[in-house]
Amino acid sequence: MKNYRSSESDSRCVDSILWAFVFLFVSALPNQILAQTEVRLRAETRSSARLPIELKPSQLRDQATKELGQRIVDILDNDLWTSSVVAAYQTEESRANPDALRLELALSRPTGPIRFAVQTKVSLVQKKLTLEGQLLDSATNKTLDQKIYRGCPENLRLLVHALADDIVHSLTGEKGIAKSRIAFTAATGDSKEIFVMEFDGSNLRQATSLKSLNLTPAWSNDGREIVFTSYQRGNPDLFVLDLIPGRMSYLIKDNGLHSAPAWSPDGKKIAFVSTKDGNAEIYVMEIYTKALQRLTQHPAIDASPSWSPTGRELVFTSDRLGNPQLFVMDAEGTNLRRLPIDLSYNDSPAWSPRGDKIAFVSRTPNGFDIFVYDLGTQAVAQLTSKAGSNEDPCWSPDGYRLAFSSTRDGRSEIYSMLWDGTDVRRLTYKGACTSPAWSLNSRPAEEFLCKE
Amino acid sequence: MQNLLKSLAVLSALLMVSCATRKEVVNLKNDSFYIRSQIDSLRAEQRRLRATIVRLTNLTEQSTEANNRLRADIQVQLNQLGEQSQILNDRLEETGRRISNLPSKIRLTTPVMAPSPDTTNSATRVDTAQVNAAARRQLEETQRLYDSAYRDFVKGQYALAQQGFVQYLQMFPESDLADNAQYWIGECNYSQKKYAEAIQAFQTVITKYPEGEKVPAAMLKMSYAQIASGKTAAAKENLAALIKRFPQANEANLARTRLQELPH
Repeated sequence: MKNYRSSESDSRCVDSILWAFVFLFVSALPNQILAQTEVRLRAETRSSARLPIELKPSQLRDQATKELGQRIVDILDNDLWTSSVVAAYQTEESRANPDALRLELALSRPTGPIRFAVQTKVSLVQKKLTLEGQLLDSATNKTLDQKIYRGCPENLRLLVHALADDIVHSLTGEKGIAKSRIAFTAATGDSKEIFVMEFDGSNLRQATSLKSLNLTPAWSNDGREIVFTSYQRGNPDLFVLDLIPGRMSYLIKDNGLHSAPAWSPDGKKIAFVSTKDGNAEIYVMEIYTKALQRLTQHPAIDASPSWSPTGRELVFTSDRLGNPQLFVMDAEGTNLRRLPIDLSYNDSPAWSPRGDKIAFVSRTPNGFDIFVYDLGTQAVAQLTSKAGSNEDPCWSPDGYRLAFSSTRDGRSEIYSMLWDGTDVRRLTYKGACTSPAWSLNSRPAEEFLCKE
Repeated sequence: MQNLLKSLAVLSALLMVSCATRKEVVNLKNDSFYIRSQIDSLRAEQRRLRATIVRLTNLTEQSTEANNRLRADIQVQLNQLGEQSQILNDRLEETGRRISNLPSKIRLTTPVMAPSPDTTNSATRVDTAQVNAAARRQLEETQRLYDSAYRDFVKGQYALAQQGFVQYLQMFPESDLADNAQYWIGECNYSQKKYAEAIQAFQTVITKYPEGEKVPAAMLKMSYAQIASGKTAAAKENLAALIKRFPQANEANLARTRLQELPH
């Protein structure tokens, strides 16, 4: 294959992405907003990639308490900050001290003037929660968008997450990530189990109790199921865990090793590595028919498949050229190309949900570090360095963040960072946490229902 | 005696009334003083209010003026924006025109790119360097067009990607990546389940670039497209031909598996 060139400077990539953000803001805004604020919008998007919005104190109705209102605003604040595209401010306090807000804007969070506001209204009647979210134009106080969410106090976080994602979508046309979750593997005694937490590390819970080795989880596209490798039967097989009833079933149990499953974006297929025919090859299984197709046929080791967001291609690792390198093939197993990455030991590729980037790890003197390859420019950017060993990158559903495991604080923990390597946040405090998998921002409808 | 008592009572009653009247007069005096002072303070207040009104009127006039200025500024900025967007549009048009003119330019520059052996003077060397730089730029441009078409493909913009690869082939029909571009045209159609168009595009890869490295992949995908559109017999023939021609290729293994799955 001849269609790749050597790397280019990374800064060009950063510039073009920033402009892509700017373009998205302008193009995705509802027409009426655009018409009102065309002039200011231009000045603002140049100076900053985040759109600032004011969070007004929640209006309380019926038996809703002040604490409940404040909790809603706090959750919303955190959700919107992690979305990477908007910047939320609680201005209740800053009204008494306007300089505080100005200072915050000027120093820590570089953004333009606040043009949008979110007004929440909450009521609580006989343990039924109604949350109303309104997106307002700050200048005219005109409602631009509004939505009502109904549930129970116990699923308050999920209702606010849904509101946060809707605000992000309404303002920028981008998917929010507040409803998304991260699954990972962590040691519990002698065994390793699958754990699930929210996008920011909150609400951590153990999803399996199999008292065996359970590894490499991957989410279904509806956020309801997790496929993973389990040694429950002694042999590494693939299991599917349905999170709603908490029920497990076999996907494949056969001779040989089965690992590194990856759910296709349409939810119909799972790609994985198997040695059932003697050598590590990549297979794809149709979930409903259980029809199996072998995609690679090579005496070398082929491993770590990851789907492109369209499901038309797969990136994977192969040592067919002597050391592990990244290759791309189409979903039928043909049109194979090596990615021209000028590093000697590359593994764990993850295709960005935006399509244009592939995150991967490469061996460095510290162990491993995380890199990103740009499919459009062929540029390679190093995202982590000199901070422990950093492995298993996976993308947030909006393609702005990466979750990964790192030994930078001693034991292996899960972290997340922006796509350019900045804004690193530690998500776990358990030790021996590996293989994070970030779900899409969809949640099964059952999770919104009240438990009777 | 009784009369005396009566007159005493009347007298005391009268005395009380006169006392009351005197008290009232004092009260009235006090009240009128109070009212006068009230009026004075109200007058002062009125003066202050009048002054405030005058000040406010001035302010309003000023702010109206400022508003008008602001509105005018915004209008100017809007006009500038309109102009800028017009410039951008023009630039876009110009770029499009330049791209469509590129093939003719390439044909024009091609003979110059192979300098004859007798060109040894320094002036010609400079020319050669310039030509080399131009060739390099052209190569970069070629690659950029190809890459941007592929980027559209990975983002699922199949129609746009196909358009890009077609344009690439029109502009650089002799490039190393021409067979790849032709293959991608097939793949864009295959991804959209346009199997007839896909079969045609893959067939072009096989016939137009018989020595190209994309031939086994094109043969396989053409067979898959035939299977998907119900042309099983033709697909079987193609798969068998693929196995015979490239027995060692990964595509041959995939073809063998697929042949076994097909009804006999």
